[in-house]
Amino acid sequence: MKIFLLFLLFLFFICVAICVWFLYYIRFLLYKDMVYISKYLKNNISFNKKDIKTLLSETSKNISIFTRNLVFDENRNVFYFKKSDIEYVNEFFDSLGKGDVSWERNNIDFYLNTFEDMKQESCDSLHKNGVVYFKLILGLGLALCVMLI
Amino acid sequence: MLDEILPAKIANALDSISYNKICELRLRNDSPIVVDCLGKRYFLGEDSLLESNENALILGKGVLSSIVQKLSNNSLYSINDQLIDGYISYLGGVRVGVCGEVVSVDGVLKTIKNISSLNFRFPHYIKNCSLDLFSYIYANGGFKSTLIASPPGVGKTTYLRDIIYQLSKDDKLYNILVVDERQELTSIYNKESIIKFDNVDVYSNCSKKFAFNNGIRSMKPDIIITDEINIEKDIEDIENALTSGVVVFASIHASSVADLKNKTGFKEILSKKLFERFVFLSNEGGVCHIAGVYNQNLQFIGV
Repeated sequence: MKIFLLFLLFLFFICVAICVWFLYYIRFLLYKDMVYISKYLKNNISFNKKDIKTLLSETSKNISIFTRNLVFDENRNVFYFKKSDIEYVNEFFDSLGKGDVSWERNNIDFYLNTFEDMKQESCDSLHKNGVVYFKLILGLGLALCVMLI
Repeated sequence: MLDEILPAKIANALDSISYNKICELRLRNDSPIVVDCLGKRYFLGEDSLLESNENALILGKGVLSSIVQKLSNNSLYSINDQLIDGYISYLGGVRVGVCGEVVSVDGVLKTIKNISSLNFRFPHYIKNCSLDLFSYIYANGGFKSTLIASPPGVGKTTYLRDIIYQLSKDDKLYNILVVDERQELTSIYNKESIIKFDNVDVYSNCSKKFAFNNGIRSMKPDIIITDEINIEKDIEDIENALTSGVVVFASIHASSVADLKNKTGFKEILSKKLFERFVFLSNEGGVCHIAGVYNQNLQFIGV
């Protein structure tokens, strides 16, 4: 019975470790998707001048469900993103549709550069912090289980 | 139809008026709202039309910019070319005239900012209103190129729209090319839905030059129909169409034969006999009332 409970405890630590790693992973996905969305908007705004809503809906099938919730779901519950990330992405979307084609392209370029930097930063963070925390939590769980045996 | 565009108070007030009667809606910054109903102007009240501006609805500051944003689906770049030309085309053939501060860089028009007034022109569809004309424009198994003239707001576009409808349902299955520069002719809101004509090829939101040149080459039209020509600018393209064996129906702003004759370049149209019929409309006998039909030498041939 004790072994079984310890196994459950360790399983709990595994879940927490995965969740923490996943938070880093979806942040990376968010910026990866934002780079894709920015490039898609930039290329298509000047070509066929479809409105932003239509262009965004065209990108929806190629982005992660987490980003999709942030972009499309009005009653979004996106607790898994950092507030600062959400604010920056919203700032980008709020800035769209206010000028002519060349202004839009310059504006998207400005945000695209930042999104690419953030993608790189979140990728590094995933490989460093994400993996470290994953191992740390697993180690902690293992140590606790060993102590309790 | 404009519920998503206009502030709720204005949209509700408009709903209380029969759509068929509304011709124009004029919104000006910080001013009472004016509605043109069948040629007569009124102030818009909360639930009725008013003769005086005492209880008229007044448009708040900043509302016009938000309306323009909504008209563009929050994508100003998608309508900026139209904005530079002073109008925005909206769903169902509604044309919105725009006034404001013009922005130009190095002499090139960039956009209009600080929008100060908007004029919504509502299209109408009067089925069979052009039937009387067909005895004048159809002879020996063919149509005659026709120029329809009238002052603004008398029904040129409505008339052309019915000509498109009549031709499109003809058993002869004409190749009809509509050059709908301002997206007014072929997409029309009819109280509940937007009607589109069948059996018609449409170039929309493009210059007449482009549509005439490419249309004749690629669509092989029998008839080209276009709205509001500018003789100076469009005469070359129209001449090219007419000399290629294509029949052209067009409209132009002119209130009388004298007005038309005074237009720059019109002498060339007459001397080359480009149009075989000239039709003048007036609003004296109701919308789309034919005031006179003239032949290629501008001689009166009937009403």
